[in-house]
Amino acid sequence: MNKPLASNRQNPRQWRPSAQAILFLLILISMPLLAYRFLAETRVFMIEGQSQAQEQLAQGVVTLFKGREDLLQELPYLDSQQVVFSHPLSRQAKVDGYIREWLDFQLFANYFGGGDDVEDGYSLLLGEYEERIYGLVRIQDDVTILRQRGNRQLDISDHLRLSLPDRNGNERRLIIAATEPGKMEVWYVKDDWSSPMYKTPSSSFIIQAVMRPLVDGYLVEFALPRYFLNDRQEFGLAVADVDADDGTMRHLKTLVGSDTNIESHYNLLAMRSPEANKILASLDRANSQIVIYDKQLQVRASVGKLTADVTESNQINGTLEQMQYWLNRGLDWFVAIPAYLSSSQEASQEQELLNKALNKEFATGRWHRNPGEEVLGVAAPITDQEGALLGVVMIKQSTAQILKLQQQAMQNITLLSFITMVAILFVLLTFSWRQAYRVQRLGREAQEIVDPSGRLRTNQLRSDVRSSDRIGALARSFSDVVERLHEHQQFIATMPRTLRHEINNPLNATMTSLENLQRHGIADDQQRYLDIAQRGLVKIGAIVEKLADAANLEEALQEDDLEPLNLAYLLETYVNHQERSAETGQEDVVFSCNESQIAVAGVDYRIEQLLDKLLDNARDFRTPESTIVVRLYRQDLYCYLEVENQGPHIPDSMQGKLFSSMVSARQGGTGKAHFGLGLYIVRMIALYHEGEVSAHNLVNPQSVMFRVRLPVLLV
Amino acid sequence: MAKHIVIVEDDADQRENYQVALEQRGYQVTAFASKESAQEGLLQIKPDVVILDIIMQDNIDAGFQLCSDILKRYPHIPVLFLTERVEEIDRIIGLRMGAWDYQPKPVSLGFLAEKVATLLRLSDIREAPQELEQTVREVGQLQLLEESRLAQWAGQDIEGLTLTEFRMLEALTRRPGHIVTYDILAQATHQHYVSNNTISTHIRNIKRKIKKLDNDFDAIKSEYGMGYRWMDSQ
Repeated sequence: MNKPLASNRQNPRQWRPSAQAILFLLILISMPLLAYRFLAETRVFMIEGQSQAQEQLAQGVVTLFKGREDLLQELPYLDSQQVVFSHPLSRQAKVDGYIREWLDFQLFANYFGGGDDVEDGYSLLLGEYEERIYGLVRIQDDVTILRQRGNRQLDISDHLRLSLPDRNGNERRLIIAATEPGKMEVWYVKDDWSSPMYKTPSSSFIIQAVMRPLVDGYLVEFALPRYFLNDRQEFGLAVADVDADDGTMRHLKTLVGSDTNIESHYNLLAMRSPEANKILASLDRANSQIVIYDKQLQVRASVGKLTADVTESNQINGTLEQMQYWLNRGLDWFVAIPAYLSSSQEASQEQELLNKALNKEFATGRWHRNPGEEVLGVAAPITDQEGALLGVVMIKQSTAQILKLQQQAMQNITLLSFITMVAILFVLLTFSWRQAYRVQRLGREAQEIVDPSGRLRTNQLRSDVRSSDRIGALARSFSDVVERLHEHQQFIATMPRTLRHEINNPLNATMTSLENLQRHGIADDQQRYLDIAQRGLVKIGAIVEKLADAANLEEALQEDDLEPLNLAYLLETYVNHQERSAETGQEDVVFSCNESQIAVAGVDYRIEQLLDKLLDNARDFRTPESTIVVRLYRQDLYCYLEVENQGPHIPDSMQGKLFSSMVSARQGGTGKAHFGLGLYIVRMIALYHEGEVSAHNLVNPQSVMFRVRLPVLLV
Repeated sequence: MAKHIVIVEDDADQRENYQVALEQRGYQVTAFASKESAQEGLLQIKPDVVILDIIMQDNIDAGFQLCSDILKRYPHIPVLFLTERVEEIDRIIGLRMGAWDYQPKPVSLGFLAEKVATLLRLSDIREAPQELEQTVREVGQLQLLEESRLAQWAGQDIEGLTLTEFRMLEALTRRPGHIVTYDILAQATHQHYVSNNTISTHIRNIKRKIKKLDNDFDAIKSEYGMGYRWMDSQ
């Protein structure tokens, strides 16, 4: 019986990741984390350094402006006049009704209300860039009345009134009105603020104005050349709110006093100090803004900007950026410094810093301007020589650049880590696959070199024996073992033949000598011993012959031709002849078969030899005088030949090797020479007929059955 | 004049036993212990029968080489291999080289003497067939020429039939239709011990040789477990 090869079984343990692999993976994963940790530390270090540099800069600015009353002196406006400060725009504003350019200055908007009707008030922000003045007016108005196109009366719709005295004291009156959201019309009007004189062409860029409706009113953004102002930089602005019911002007709220016709009610436009700006210009740095305020917290000079497009660039738009933001946050939580996360997120800190500076305190702060972007702020008081407060310097610096650099570095590290890990994994997988393939190939070849009867087919392995690595060394070692086993197998296989060669000569010499001795004549009482000697020699000859026959069986089988056989007839004839040859005259073998014709492809005298061996075996082990049963039946594509005898069971220890060569379960004393070749011959003949043989212990009565399964010949 | 038998056998004991046994039967025997001494000696004499061992000293094919030399010089001399090499392939090689028979060891000296006598008789017949009156036994289409140990099937010689196989055919056809047991067939091999399997191999070879002449030949039936039977219908 063929014993299944143990190596066919899958061992699930072999697929568990080894501790080394897990350790390697952890090291692999920790590399980018460590890199990120390094980046985070660098970021903190840079921000701290930036903060210190900022404080030193603030001290420097304070020193520069210390005692410079000329730069921060109070503006020469009349008590009745209100000063509106223009703020430095970082670039040329686009007159489009949107407030991107004004975000940094919203805090400083001037609010104007119409008496008790605060809800109908408006806010004004003025800015300047190069030679143009920009304005942003946000009007609260429940109902916006637009001007009807073609109507020559200009004061029956919501509009802005702009009064600009020239250098000669003459007043230019302009009405800015909208017929629809978008670009507004600009009219020069007569003194009644109603009759038009002429309209500036719509294509003109001298005075631009755009209106945009809001939920609670509307917004007007306008621009005009600086040269429209006189030397005192006076101007008047009023917002006219028109009642929609009767189409008449209901009331007029003025920004500058209550009547734009009164000169004293002009406002002064406070421009930045050119000299102060020159001083600050040399301190301009990227991502930072320095603003000089006077005691009224009006901007007197400024330089730089936090980030040119910081609002836009730091918006978290795409899914990828969203993921990256949260990845950064997650990594920060995992590896970064907790203190970094604790900074305030309130923009109002800026006002607090200014207030502290007004109280002559040196104040620093840090807050989030946008998710992922911090602003470092320093506010310091500027005093005169006596220590009296002149103004405040405010330095703001964005960490966006640092964060951006960190983000880029992080992206690079992430990408590099990912590519590296993928490459390493690919190499590892390829290497592992290659190693596994080689080991499997080696294992497969090791299995294939053993034939079903457990003998080696070849004397060496081919796989990997020339490789110089450990698997190659293993293959070579294995091949050496196979070679030695093969040599041993060859020795075992040829031993009976060699034995026969070696024994036959002395045997022949002895037998011929005895024959000559007999021919020469010996005494009668000595003849008996001569006969015994001759019988012994014949037995030796028979033993040697049997051994050699078994050893040569496989080669001898190759000489035989398979022919169609009626196995039922063969067995029946064979068993009948057994009956006749029984010495006691009684049946010791019975045959059982329900069919008269069962065809197989076989060699008849080999089947006969197989039966000889099975019956010899059954006779040796049967209970005395019990009958041996030879049974034949067909099932599906096979027929089964069974030889059953009552008698002791086959010991468990013999089950696996019963059909091997030179294995016998006989205890001795049978009087015959046995070499454990009978069942081996049975198996070899069964295999040659593409069949197999098995042994079974049966109970009630205790008996043993040998079953040979042969394929049925389908005609 | 006594027939001259040459024996080439490297084992001194066996050589002496053969020589004594054959000389007692009236043959002139010259024995050689090696291939080289035999080659030299055979230059001087022309034997009537040569008995050769195959393995001599370290040369495992010495007998084959010697046979080839002898048959080149004397193509019609009966050569008998008497050897411990009993594999089928050795038997085939020996017979194809032109040997008249192939006898495995151990052998009975009586059988050996009988075989030598048979070979001499066959040699005489084949040299002068017209001078001998053949006893021919016919069994169906089979004709057995007793003196020349030749067999024919439907008038054609059965090629390559050995003396052992001829004797088996003789035994099988002695009583056509009756079972001839393995024991009886074993006696025809002139060996001390013969397994049923060896007998079946001889029978298989006989069938193959006759089937070369008649593919429908089916006269030899196996009586499984007992022996063989010649079907008298053929």
